Amino acid sequence: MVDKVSLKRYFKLLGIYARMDLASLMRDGKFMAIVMAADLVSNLSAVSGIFFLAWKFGGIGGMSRFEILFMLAYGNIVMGFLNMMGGCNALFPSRIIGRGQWEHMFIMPLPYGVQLTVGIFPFTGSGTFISGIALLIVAMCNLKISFAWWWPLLLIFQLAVSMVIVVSLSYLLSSLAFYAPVQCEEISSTVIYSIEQTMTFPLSGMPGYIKYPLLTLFPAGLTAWFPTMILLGKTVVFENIYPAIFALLAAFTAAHFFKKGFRYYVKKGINRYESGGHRS
Amino acid sequence: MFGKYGITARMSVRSKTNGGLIYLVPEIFMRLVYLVPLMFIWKSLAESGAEAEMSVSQLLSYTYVNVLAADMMIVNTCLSSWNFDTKSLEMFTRPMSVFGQVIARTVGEWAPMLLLFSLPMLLFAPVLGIQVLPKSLWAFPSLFLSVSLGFAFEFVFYCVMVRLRNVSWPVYVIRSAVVSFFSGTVIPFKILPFGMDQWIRYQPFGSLGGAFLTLYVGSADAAVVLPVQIFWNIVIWLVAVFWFRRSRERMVSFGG
Repeated sequence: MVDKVSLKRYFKLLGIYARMDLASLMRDGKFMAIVMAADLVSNLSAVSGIFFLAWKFGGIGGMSRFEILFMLAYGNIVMGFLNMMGGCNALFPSRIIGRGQWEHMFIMPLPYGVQLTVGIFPFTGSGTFISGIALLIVAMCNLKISFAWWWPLLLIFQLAVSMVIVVSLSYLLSSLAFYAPVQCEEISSTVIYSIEQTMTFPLSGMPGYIKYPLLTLFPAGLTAWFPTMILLGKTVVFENIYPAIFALLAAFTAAHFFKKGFRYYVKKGINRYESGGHRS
Repeated sequence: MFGKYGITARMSVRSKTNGGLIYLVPEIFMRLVYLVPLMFIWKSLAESGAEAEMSVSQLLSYTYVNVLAADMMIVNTCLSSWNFDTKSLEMFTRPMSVFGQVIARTVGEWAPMLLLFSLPMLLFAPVLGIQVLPKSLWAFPSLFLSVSLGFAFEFVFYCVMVRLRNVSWPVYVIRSAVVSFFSGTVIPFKILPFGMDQWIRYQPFGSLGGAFLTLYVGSADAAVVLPVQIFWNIVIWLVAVFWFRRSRERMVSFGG
């Protein structure tokens, strides 16, 4: 492993992965059609349930139909971007740890951060991201709100904050896999899939004892609903900085515990290659 | 005759719990995280004065029972994952029917969650003010038909995977997405807009868990639901058995 790579080398690696992804998509027409259909169908299905409810009842919990659509689109962009960029299980680090694959990373001539972030799927994995952008445009066209010139910057900032929260939670819980690799191999899946499920719920109109845990203990509300409230100007000023502060704290906490777990792991090793160990 | 299937089911129960009950915690967490906000959406809609074709009490029971019986509402078996890691080949080396093995294994996998999550939650429901007694006893044959149809779909999608040369993940994604919406288990058909409930209940996925749930909470008539479920069971099982026989020799598996 080496400590650093140049920016040029980093982008070159991204390009290699992108080319491999394009090659896998183009290898035959049937495969390409299936992948595109899978993306389209799953995205429509993911947003249709809550949006149909909002349509039928003219909104949910004080949010209008297109505010709900905006929130669903925002969630799609967050998860779509992370899934697109977090290929090779970078979004699911407990899988890498639990399967003993971190040991494979030792011998790669690249820093861990680079190994984890260059494995992108921009062609086969971008459906959710693109459909999220399309839905966001539809929602914005129907919201009849005048957006300030700096609003796109705020949108990008909030999206980045939401993504940091999702990634931090995944890495925070995944640090348990250093101690219990078999039991915790799929803990990041539980975190990510639970967030994906819960982020589609509009928390407006819900009682505090449901809303606040979803903004603190299990902050799925900070990955779509609360940022939507901020972007649509439905929060007060001091509330606007809460997601960013939370993201910062979550990132530092995740980094601390992940490094601590890693230090334990390099001393104790992993049981994958022992007889009776995982997948033996 | 059923002994070997019983033993398969028992092995399956143990495989779910032999690492300790802590393995079940993530699944329980995911179900609760899904259940609680959705129930409050129904309450929130009721409080806003929205008029739905189902009462709040029915909607709460619908969601609650769906989560308690989630494994049976939309059947997922080992078939979808076994084809890419060669394990599906093992099924053909045993002196047992492949259909029987898959069903026994899956039913065994359901048992720990039913006992350790669903049963306590069922007993706890009255404390939460949720009606969990079925409105019609026809719900039970309907549950059997839902589960049976779920297994038939599993074999049909397995054949799709075999025919498409193992593109397991995209097929799994399409299937999960289609089934989750068209089964009516998440959002009841009756409260869908644009008059969708007039036709959506008659498509084959509509006879999965959603059909059972409508009878359970008393929002549909058994005389309408059960014949449709029986019809789709006959059709999809015929397709599953016939297509599986034609597809199994084309099976290709990688990995290990």
